[in-house]
Amino acid sequence: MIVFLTTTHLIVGALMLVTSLALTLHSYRLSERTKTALRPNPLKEEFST
Amino acid sequence: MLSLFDMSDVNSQISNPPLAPFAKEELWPHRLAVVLGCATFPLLFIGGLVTSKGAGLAVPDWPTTFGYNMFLYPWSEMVGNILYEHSHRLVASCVGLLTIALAVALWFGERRTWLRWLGVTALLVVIAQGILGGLRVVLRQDTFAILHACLAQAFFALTVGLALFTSREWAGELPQAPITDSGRLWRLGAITTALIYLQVIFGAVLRHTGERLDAHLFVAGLVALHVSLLIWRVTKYHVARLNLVRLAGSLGILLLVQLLLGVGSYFAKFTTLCGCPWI
Repeated sequence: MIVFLTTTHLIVGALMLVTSLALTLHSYRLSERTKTALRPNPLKEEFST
Repeated sequence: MLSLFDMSDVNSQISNPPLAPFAKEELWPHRLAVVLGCATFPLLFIGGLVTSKGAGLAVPDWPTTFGYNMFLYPWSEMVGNILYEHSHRLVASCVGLLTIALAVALWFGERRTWLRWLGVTALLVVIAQGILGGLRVVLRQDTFAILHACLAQAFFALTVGLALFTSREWAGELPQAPITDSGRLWRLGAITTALIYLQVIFGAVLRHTGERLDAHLFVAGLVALHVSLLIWRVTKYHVARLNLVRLAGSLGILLLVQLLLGVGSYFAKFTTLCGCPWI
């Protein structure tokens, strides 16, 4: 039983690590999208002046 | 004028933009990265079993197995703890070969330079991991076992990262959709990931030496707090992003299971309160 508990504890820890990493990477990707979207478009400004 | 139906369609397109098709040569690195991640998971499991069973030194030599070439060791003699330790070595060799294949596929088939070098990094990590495992057997020191355990989890995380970076979604164009709070979310996610990894380190120390239970429990509290914050932030600000909601939900479930397993392991290993015969 100890073997089952400790090994599963280790495996679930690994799954938590990669799930948290995947969430972080996805949200980083979204923040990059936001930055790109909020960046002023120089071409548009050139035409408007 | 757009109808309500059309607007919801536009919103769903912004949240989940259509993905560009993959070029044929870009498919292989992703396939290999997914296979590598899937192969690393059972390797971690067997590695965990080796420690739990106390089978780390069942095979006293390395890189040979009782004087045999590792791949030629008779299957009939793989019994008891030798089965766990030797299977760990064989599966590790497969993971090593897959990592070589992925590094080569990325080097020749990937346009992003940083990702090509990440493939090389994965290869260097897997080599270091093999050497650490070998040194643990040859020098019989717990320090190497702890380093081996910590690097194993880092390598697994790296393989999952590689699978994500080579995916169609990651390689695609960035849609122009501003999202509030994404900066805070990823910073909180990064802190949570770092805390989980710190917990992995203390867990490895505890497993191999029986020390620093205090640190393991303290960081467990911090992880629980940060995971809860992460779930709250995702459900409050990003409820339309299905992939974030799914990941946050999975993290919450894993946290609950992990806490239960942690309590179970604690009672089973460190206390005499639970005099259950099945333990």
